[in-house]
Amino acid sequence: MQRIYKYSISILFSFIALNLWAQQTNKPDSVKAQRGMIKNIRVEVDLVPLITMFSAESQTYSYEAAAQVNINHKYFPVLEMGLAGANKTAQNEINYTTNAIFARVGMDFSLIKPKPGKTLTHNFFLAGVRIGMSNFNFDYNNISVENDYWNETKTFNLNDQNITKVWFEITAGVRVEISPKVYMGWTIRNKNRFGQQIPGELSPWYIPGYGINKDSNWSVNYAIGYLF
Amino acid sequence: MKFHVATYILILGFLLASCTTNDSCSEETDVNLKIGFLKRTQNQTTGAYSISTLTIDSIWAKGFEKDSFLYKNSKFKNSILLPLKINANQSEFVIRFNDKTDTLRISHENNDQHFLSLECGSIVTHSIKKVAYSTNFIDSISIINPEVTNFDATHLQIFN
Repeated sequence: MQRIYKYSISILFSFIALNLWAQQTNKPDSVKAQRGMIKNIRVEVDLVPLITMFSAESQTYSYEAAAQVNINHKYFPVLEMGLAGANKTAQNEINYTTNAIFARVGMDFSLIKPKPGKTLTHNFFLAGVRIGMSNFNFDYNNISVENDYWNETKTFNLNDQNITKVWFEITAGVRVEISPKVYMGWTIRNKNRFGQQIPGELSPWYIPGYGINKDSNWSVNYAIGYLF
Repeated sequence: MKFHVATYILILGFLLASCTTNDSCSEETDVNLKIGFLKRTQNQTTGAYSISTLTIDSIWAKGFEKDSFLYKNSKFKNSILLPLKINANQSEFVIRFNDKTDTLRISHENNDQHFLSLECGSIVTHSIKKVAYSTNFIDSISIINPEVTNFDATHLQIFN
């Protein structure tokens, strides 16, 4: 509940900020002036790691970039790729590490439909879906099991455990043109795993591209991009 | 002016969205063998046997060749919990039921790959293979659940 509250506040602040920036827009184009299905391609990079990397408590990192195609100002297929990992030591001294590439493919849909004869907007309000996947190795080190009555201790490591995780996302976001061909905007994601967690089965604590290994995750990206 | 205000708002927004994780373990990590006590009674008229829960007035229990007690004159118990060894395949106990003492030897296999989570770590679970016992108080023992995990369940039943 606390995390949802934090994200809600962040979304509110981001929306306010983007509304202030969106005051300046370029000269709009008419719908009739553009021909062909593919209007443009936008390449963007996530800026959130530039802020979170300075946090002393950050035990995870995620860098990602995306390429999105504008089809008739309605459909926006997207490919996202990135590098993410974790290095966390829990209170029980168990250490978890992973580092891998992840990818997502999906489609966004513009919630603002351009009307024929009307001037085109260079700002977008998008909603969409993603399928994400990552194949990665992970390590658990310094696992200790103790039996106080019999004075026994068993310590071991679980290294190079390989697994593939797939998940789907529901996204919503805004892209605003802040200067010619330069866009900024945020995307909020609700991520959900496929498959159930089997009790006793070794599972990763952190999944690159997905986040902490729970049934559902929320996350926010803030990107800067350029239009081609 | 609007640019600077917007920048500060964005930075504040991201700081609020910083993710924190909960490090505490919310799962049960104790693994114990649970033994229930039962009494088999024969109906004098019909000859049929009935089984009922047996409450021990005073119980003492400790590991074989151990000085410390797991149960030291514990009163009115109808079940006890005993920890099995994690580095050996046999655990032996000495149990005193009121004024009679028996030994109990459990042969078991250990599984140390039962991983719970990063916060909880791993536990060693056991599979009971064989139970040997003396018969001063104990009449018989039934293995009703051979898998000893962190879930609460009765694994052996001692009949008097």
